[in-house]
Amino acid sequence: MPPRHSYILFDPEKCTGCGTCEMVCSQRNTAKIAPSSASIQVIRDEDLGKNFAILCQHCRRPLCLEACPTRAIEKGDDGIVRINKLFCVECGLCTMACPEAAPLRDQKTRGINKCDLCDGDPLCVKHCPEKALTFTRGKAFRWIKGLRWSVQLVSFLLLVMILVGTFCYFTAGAVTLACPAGVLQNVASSKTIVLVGVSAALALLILTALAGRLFCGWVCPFGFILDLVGTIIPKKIGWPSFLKSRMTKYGVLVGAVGASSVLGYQAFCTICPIGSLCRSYGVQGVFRGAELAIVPAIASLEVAERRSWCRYFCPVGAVLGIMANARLINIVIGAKQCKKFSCTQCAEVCPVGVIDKDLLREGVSPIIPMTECIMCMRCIDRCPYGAAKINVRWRKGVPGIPEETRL
Amino acid sequence: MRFREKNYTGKMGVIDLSDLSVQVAPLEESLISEHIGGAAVNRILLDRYDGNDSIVLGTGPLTGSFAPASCLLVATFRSPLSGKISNVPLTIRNGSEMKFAGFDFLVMNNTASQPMILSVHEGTMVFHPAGPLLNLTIAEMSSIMRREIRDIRSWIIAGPAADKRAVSASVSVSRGGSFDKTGLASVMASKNIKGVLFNGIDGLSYGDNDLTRSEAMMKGLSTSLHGKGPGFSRILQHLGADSSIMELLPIKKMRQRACYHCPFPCMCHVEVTNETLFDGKDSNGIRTLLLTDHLGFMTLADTFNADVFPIMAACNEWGLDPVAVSQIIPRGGSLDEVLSMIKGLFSGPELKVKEVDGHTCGTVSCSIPRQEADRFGGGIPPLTVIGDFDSPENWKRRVALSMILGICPIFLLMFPDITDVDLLSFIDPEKESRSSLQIRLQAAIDDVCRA
Repeated sequence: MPPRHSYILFDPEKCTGCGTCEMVCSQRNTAKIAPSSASIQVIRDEDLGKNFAILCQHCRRPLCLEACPTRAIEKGDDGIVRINKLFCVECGLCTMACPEAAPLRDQKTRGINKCDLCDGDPLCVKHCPEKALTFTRGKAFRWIKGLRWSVQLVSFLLLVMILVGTFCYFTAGAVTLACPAGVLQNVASSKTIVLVGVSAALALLILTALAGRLFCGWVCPFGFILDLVGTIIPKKIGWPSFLKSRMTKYGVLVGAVGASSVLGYQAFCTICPIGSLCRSYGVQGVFRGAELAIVPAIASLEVAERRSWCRYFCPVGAVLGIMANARLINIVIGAKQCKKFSCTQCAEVCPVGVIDKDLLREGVSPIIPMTECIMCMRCIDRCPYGAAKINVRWRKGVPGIPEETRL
Repeated sequence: MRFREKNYTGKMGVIDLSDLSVQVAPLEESLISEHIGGAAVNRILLDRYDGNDSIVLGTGPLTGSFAPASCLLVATFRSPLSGKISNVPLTIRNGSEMKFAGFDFLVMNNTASQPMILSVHEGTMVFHPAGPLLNLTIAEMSSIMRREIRDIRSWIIAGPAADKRAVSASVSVSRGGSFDKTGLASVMASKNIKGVLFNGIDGLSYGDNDLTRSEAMMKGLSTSLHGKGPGFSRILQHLGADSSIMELLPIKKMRQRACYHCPFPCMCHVEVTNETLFDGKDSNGIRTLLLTDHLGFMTLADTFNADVFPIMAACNEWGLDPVAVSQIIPRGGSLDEVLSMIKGLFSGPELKVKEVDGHTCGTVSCSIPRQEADRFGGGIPPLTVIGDFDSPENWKRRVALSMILGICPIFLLMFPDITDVDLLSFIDPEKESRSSLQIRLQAAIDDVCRA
């Protein structure tokens, strides 16, 4: 089990710039009161009236660690990133690599000082008179995560194991649902519009028009399998850049519809991983050899990137992505409320990689393309500052900071 | 560990501005053991260099230490307004930074041949020509200095008003003015010292239990905070500000600011959107104004009502005492008229106003006689409603205590529960020897109050 992510949260709204954190930190580093030798530094912007704290975020994948030529930086089992002074040659590459510039150069000794969280009991947090610093070991329980996994499991059981029919088209009592990509192919292959089929597809399209690609993040049974596989294979090898086009899935959709029109049957549905999963693995499964192989074959793409299929190839996602243009809600990440630009935890947990880390590091709110976002809400769950939120589409600005209080 | 070793860096600098020479001397043990430090030692040094028109900058034994609000630097000089010795408290981080820069006391004698800036760093001093900074606003000077000199952690700067030798000029210890209402800025300007910059990177020793003691003291304070809301407005309430003044403060838009290691943020930033006020640099038309001068704000608010913020900003940028401005500029004009009148003060070679002779406290009701207030720079709020500082004598002794030990006077006035014994325990934790220190401290307070 990976170590809990321990770090210090800084609230600039509360910080008065008194520098007590620097004092107590320096006395631990040097046995003297010398704020310039502290591992935390408060930058006081007198023009904007704002304070910023430079302090280590003990990143999950520390760039300083990778940059260190002497391997003097290590991440302990407790999740704390430390500098081993015996090996440190004071080259300063760690400072340059860190987006927060958190390994601080001691102006007196020219050595590098870096926060080690006082081995789990940070003095700066303890002594901050305004409680602007908070020590956290991350959220112990993320309720959205628990809810999402539960919904995904129930959806999987219903769609694959219990309900008669498949995701492609099934009836449960008075409710009839159909895959919108399947319906498009059906219309193309049969050259006729079956109103029952179209209306069955509408349910999913309306849900998407209201709440974005919620289906992909919460309901899709194949997405559930991908999330499970992604959890088992945490390290990703990545795709070559020429394959990383999100437009590919729209091409797949057009190709599927075109092929269906030419061949006279729903061409893509025969190899659709969602359909294959429902048809071949459920209690009423057909267990045909070729279909059995589709699910593991496509799931193995998780080795390259999380939700690779959803990002680049899924034609169902493409239809829903088009509908998501009409969504009523957005996910927004307010950079002004995001108090540590180097945190980027939201970007790290995003399974479809739509949050721009670089923009966050520049202090700019990234615009999340809702046609790509699968509304899994991992970013909301993970953000320690409450900067990631669901916003109604027509509301301008970032969440959390009313216009009149922004400085 | 000896008294000097623990609480002082052990060095003082004597600067002869006439030839820009610096003499670094060890701090005399007898001087600080007898007079403790701060304003009391400053006065001795001022007497020693009498006739040189000196300015003495001094820290107290607690400056830079774990004692709360240990930010204070005291500037002692002969005030051109009263002709008497004045001790101006210079807050924010100046005291601690001067100690971290390697000096406990600085004596500036004589006059430089051209405007200079003194930069203090790692026990050394460097002079920079300040000619290009003359008549620039504090913001303009700030950006130039940060570009040219770079490593600046705190400063004392005389603004353009001082360049015109206005006695009503006030030094800036940040972008928010200071408590100087007795002419320190004009004395600095007359000696061709435009500013003193500190970049402290050395360390200061501390006692074994100082951090624990500080923590306990801070916790005790949190239960005895007076009133609610930002510290700046709480002080205004104690000064008797009426509702019309309090309503001017945009409480929700205020960002609180505190000096070095101070648990009571008595300053604040407020948003200012008046673009006509600031030349050049801004942030989408919005900038903030740092309010540090409680008396100045109250007096301006009483005089100019809702226009107080841009006028206060003008005073800060031009290094003027707001109380003096409220007495110079007549009421009733529009904001543009008032600002142009203030700006007009700098249009000619000499300041076009006669110096004011009003009460230091401006329109604030105050029981502290002017000469007593002027002894401590004239800008310390007459907080006489808390504790037993209702008599001028008690107020004076409390402020003198802070000026000797190097603790912010506002902090000590706001928290009467903190006794001199509490503070002396940071210097000498032993009860027996502390009593003799206490006696010497009382004598030093007497000296400062008599001077």
